[in-house]
Amino acid sequence: MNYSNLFQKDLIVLNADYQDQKDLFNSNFKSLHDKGLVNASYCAALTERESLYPTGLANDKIQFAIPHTDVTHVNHPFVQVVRLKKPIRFAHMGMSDRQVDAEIVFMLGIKDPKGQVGLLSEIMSCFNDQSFIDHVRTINDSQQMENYLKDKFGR
Amino acid sequence: MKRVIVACGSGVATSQTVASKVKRILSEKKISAEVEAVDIKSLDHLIKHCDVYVAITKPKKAYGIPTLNGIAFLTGMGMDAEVEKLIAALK
Repeated sequence: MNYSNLFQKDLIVLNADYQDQKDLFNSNFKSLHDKGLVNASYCAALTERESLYPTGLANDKIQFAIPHTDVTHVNHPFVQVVRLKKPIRFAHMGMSDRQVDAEIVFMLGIKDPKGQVGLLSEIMSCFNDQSFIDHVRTINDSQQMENYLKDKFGR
Repeated sequence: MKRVIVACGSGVATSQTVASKVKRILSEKKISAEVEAVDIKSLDHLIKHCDVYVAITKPKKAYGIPTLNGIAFLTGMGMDAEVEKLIAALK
């Protein structure tokens, strides 16, 4: 399955500076809602879902998060890629007593769970790949980032 | 046929991903079992008919069946140990 269409330069935010998770969600929600990708209910649903079932993840290379919510709040599938200037704290997905300081956030707009089932596995293998992490940490132009991500997720 | 249930918060991303990974592992090992991804709200109802629970979020209670760490299947970290438990539970 080819996921490259999910990555677009106007869905890539580099070196973003947010106060906290709420600020991150609100600000990105506005931009997604303006583009018609999500419903008005998306932000509240995302926030609630994150507090009940957090999406912070960590491996030995990077800490990141993949916030997402139910399909009813999403109009069109997307991945909003946010690279943070300073990390934002998320609770860990599997261990509610553990915190993750996410430096990269992939907000997943899932519309078709069965059709998009490979997307998350690909994201996971990417975040286990040091070369991917180095690229995503250092590319400073959103068009170049789009090209890089389209290439990585287009195979 | 034995049944594996995978549950996450909304049943849209993580559980689907982990379920598909578990399916692939089982087919590689030539073990036949049904694998289902559900949202956690349906878990209490559906788990009665299942033999293994792959938990994405930390289980809040014990269900009396083998329970595996789903994050290991998602990230690949510590997965081998969970695969061994999975195979043992399905034998």
